[in-house]
Formats: sequence, C-alpha cells, structure tokens
Amino acid sequence: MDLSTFNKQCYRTLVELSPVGMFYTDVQGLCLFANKRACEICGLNFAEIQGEGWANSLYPADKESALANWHEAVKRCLPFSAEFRFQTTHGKITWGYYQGIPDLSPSGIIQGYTGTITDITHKKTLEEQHLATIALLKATEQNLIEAKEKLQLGLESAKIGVWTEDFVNNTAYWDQQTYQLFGITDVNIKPNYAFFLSCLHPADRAKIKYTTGIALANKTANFNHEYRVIHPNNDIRYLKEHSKVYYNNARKVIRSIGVVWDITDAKENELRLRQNQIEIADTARKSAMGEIASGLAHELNQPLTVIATYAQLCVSQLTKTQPLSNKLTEALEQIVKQAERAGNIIHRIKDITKQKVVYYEPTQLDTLITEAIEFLRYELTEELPKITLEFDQNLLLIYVDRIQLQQVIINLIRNSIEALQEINKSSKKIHVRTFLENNKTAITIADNGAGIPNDLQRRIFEPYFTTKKKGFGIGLAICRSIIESHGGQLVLCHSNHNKGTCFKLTLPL
Amino acid sequence: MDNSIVYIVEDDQAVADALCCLFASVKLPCQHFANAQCFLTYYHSNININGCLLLDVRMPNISGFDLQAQLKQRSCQLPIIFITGHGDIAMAVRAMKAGAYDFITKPFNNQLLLEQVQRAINLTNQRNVNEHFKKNLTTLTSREQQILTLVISGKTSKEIAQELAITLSTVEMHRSKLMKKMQAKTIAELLKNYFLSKLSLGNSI
Repeated sequence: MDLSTFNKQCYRTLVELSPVGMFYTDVQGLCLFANKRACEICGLNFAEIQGEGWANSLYPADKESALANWHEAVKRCLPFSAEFRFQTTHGKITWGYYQGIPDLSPSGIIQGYTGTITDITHKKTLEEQHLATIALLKATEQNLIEAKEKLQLGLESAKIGVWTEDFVNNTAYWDQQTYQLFGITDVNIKPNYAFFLSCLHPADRAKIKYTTGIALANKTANFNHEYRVIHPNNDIRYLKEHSKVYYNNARKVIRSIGVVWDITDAKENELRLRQNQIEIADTARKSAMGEIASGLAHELNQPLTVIATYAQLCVSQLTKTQPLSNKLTEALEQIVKQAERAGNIIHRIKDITKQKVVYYEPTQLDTLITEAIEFLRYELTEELPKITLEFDQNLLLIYVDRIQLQQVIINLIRNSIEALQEINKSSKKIHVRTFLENNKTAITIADNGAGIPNDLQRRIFEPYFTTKKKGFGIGLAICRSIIESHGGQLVLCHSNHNKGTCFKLTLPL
Repeated sequence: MDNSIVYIVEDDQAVADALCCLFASVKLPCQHFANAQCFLTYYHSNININGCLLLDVRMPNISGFDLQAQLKQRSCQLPIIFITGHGDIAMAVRAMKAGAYDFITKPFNNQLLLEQVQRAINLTNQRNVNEHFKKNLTTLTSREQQILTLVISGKTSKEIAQELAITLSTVEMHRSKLMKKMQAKTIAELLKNYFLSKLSLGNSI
C-alpha cells in the first residue's frame, strides 16, 4: 500500500472514529458530508443531516440566531464559531461547539466550508453549576449582610453592648456600646477581665468575682449578672449582663461571649415600688397598733371605771358616817387614785399610738389608684383578677394623705381578690370607678365575688370582727377610721351572695 | 322637777350597775338601757321624758354618735353627756358640735359626773319652765298682757290705774288673775321666769 492510499484510507477511518463531529458543506453552506459523530450530536442520520437538514435538530430557542449567524458568515466568507444546543427527537439536549473554516482554492476562491462539532455538554453543565454556586454564595453573602444589619440595628436601638473574652490569651473585645455602658470614653483602652473588674462599683467587685468563680467552677454554660458601674460624671448605673461560656474537651474555660445593657430605670422603679411598699406596710402596722390599743383601752377602761366609781362611792359613804379619817378611807382613796393613774396610762398609750404622721398633699386620684394596684401586683404572688378602671377625668386632684388612702384602696381591693378566690367563676372582675357625687369625690370598688352573708353585713366594720381564717378583723375598721379622719365616709353599697360586693368611699372635694 | 330621770345607755352591765349605784347614793332616779335600740324603742312611746341621757360612745350596731343623731332627728330635747373610754379631742369636738352637753372620759370622777348631770337636769327643768311660761302667756287677755308689760316695767298698781284710766280695784283684779294664770306666787318669781324665758327663747315673748 502506498502512502497516498494509506493516507486516504487512514483519513476515512480517522474521520469515522473521531470523537469530534466533522462536516463539509458547499459554497451556500449546505451540508454535503457529516461523519458519524456529527450525526450522533445532532441526533440525525446521514441522510437527514444533508443540506440544511441539520438545522432541524437545533434547540428551538437557539435555532433562529444560530442559523442567522451561520448564513451571515457564509455570505461574507468568514470563519465561523458558535455554541448552541441540539435537541434530539427523544428530547435529549446536547451542547455543541461548532466551528467552520472557508475552504479556499489555491486561487482564493471559496469552495465550501469544513468544520467540526464538539459535544461540550459536560463543560457546559460544570459551568452552569459553577454559576449557580456563585449565585448562591452571593445570596448567602447578602443574607449575612442583612442579618448583621438587623442584629446591629437591634443592638443599637436596645442599647445592648456585646463583648467577647478570650481566657487563653487574657484578652477581650468590647463593642462601642459596651464602652459607652461602662462609661469608658477612651476606646483605645484594651479591655480584659481585670479592667472589667476595675470598672465596677467597688461594693460589687467582690460579689461579681465570687459568683463568676463559682459559675466557672461549676462549668455553667449560661449565667446572668447584675452590677453597678460609676460613670465619669459620678452617675451610678445598674447594668445587667447575660453571658455564654465555652469550655474545651478538658473542661477548661476558653472563651465567653456576652451582652450587657442598662437596667437603671427598671431598678429605680423597683426601688420606688419597694419604698412605697415599706411605707404602706409601716402605715398599716401603725394603724393596726392604734386600732388594737384603742380596743384594749376601751376594754380595760370599763372594769377600771367600775372599780373607781365604787371606790369613790365607798369613800363618800364612809366619810358621811365616820367623818374622822381612818385607815379604811385612806386605803379606798388609794384605790381611787391608782385607778385614775391606770386610766391616765391607758390614755397616754393610746395617744402615742395615735401619733401617726399624717401628711396631707394634693394628690392625683387616678395615679394614686393605679399605684395601689401596681403595689398589689408587686406584692401578691398569684395572678390578679381582671381589674377595670373608670376614672372621671374631671377629678384631678384630691387633698389626702397619699399613703393612708392607698392603704384603704389596697385593703378593699385585697378583700375583693379574696372574695374572688372563694368562688369558681370564669370571669372574675374587679371594677374601680371614680366619680363626683353630691359635691364629693366618690370611689367605688366592686367585685363579682362570693359576697358577704346578709347577717354579717352590719358587723363588718366592727373591730376584731372577721370571717377570715387569718386576720385580726381590723382591716375595714382601720379603713373606716382613715376615711373618717379625712372627713369622708366608707360604706358598704351592696353585697349579694355570689354576685359580689361593692364598697363606696366619699371624700370632701 | 320631780320627774327627772338619768337615762343610761351603756352596753357594759358592770359599768351601768356602778353608775346606778352612784345615782342612787344621791337619790337621783335612773334607768338603764343595754343598747341604743332599746332606748329608742322606749323613747318612741315616752316622748315627753325629762332628765338627762348618759351615752357610751362605742357600742355595737348603733354607736353613741348615731343615737345622738337619731334623737336630734326626732327633736329630742334631752341633754346628752357622753362617757367614753377612748375619747380624744376630735371626738369631743364632734360630740359638742352635734349638741352634746358634755364629754367625759372614763374612769371619771364621781363628783364631777354628778355635778354635770345635775346641771344638765336643771337646764332641762329651766327649759321646761320657760316653755310653760310661754304657754301661759298665750292664755292672757290683751288687757292682762298690757298690765303685765307695765308691771314688768316697774310700775305700781296705782300708776297703772292712772295710765290706763281705770280704777285701782280693776287693776288689782287683773293682776291677781294674771298671777294665777302665770302660776307665779310672787312678783319676784314672775319677773325671774320672765327674764329667763326671754334669755332662752329670745324676743318671741
């Protein structure tokens, strides 16, 4: 076999075996020949691919532009290359890379096009996957940015500081808000645990050191702290901190992260409430003492009066019949004297317990009532029943002892709460109303509780009368004496079994 | 007056007994009521009682002050003396403002209590005399009234006869009639009752 024969034979074989599709066209670009691979890529047989038959297998969306570009290249005798998709009759889509070069005669006259078609589906799939990954990354990045923005906005508006602490290297990071919360103006200061302790109120340092030590020793993962810091202007602020601690496999602390915020306002409010509570409790104790002493005085005075009266009678009878003073008269006179003395002591004790400091001031009626309810919420562990308020906006100021009047309102509402505990009702209600009545300020406190039995209603204001297991029975007696000392009246409006009770108090304007 | 009684409203029996004993020692009749309601019931059928009312402040159901208010509503003229074991100034002021005669704290001085009770009774008696005097006045004829005015202004019967241009014996007759009507034995008594009445009843005479 000579070389040219070999070459021809060899070419033909190579063309048939080639993994690359090959084709040849005429001057108009109509296909004259395509190898087996080209037919495979297009999904057509040799006959179908002839002329412009190959274009039938183009993917519909690519067809128009692919043909237009090809025709344009042929018209201008230009080399041509493009990527487009084929779709076989079975629906399989294949990406092809198509390139053609004008076939020129030695004199430069175009005779046709020779070209190849390569299956680039795999490359294209990888490319698409790559693009999808990039898009996903971008979206994730955007989400992260948004999440960070949200967190930042939340932290800023809640004025929450964030810090982290590295126990291994004894370093810490504080964000700007943390510096502000601790009252540190120099942001170049590098914080660490010792610096944190130095920022605290001296009285809180030992406590924080101790509780932190305990928490770390117990490998506590979450813990809360409250402490005070002193700002440069000597302002004392209360801060609250919540932190998470991370330990390594050897259970050794490695780092922690935490948030810190200012709770001064809440603390001050709490202190104010507690102060109010102490005052009310103190007043209640004093009034109870006064009421008990007054009751005792009355009880003791009765027999004392009898003793004194009889003794005096005896003295006068004796002096009538035996004018000369004798030992018996002297003894009786002593009885009279000592009874008088005992009477004076009793009166004095009562006077002392009555020496409560009454402080009348113009007081906002609705604030006074809402504060009293706030006090009950604070003091009682159980949930309060629904308390509705109805305030007459024309009743702005009353002239009373705030603490004493609050004591009355608290007492009455507490009685209502207890009356509601005795019953099984789904809607337990207490209604507090203020209004003007006959030129007087009136307040009613009504509940839909158990009610007071008819035969007991007239006795409820008596001292030492009670239906409660615990209690001295002086609550309502005290309420009445407080209201009467204000020149007002406290009465039971109505009370019906299982329908509820209503008390009304009136005060001069 | 003979029908004066000390009415005691006191829930403590021992105290009431001691008080009764005290009044008995000076021969003052007294009557005890265990609570305000009992006294109100009694008063309802004995409106014209005389004397004085001793009231405890602190009593169950109706307190001393409540009873005072209820009696006032019924226009009761009985003077009230409060006796209390737990009196303070505010309470005393309240009682006096509401028209009480006195406010005495327990244990009390017998003598002081008796004196105040006696004064209160005298006051009622005088008030009764005054009322009586006023009532008697209305029974006089216009001539008798005319003569009474002149007698009070210090004129003798002779001067009156001259002024009214009537005979002396006519004047004497009117005078003896009006003295009988006014239940006065002497001119002095007539004058005393007249001026005391004028003092307490004002110019209505």
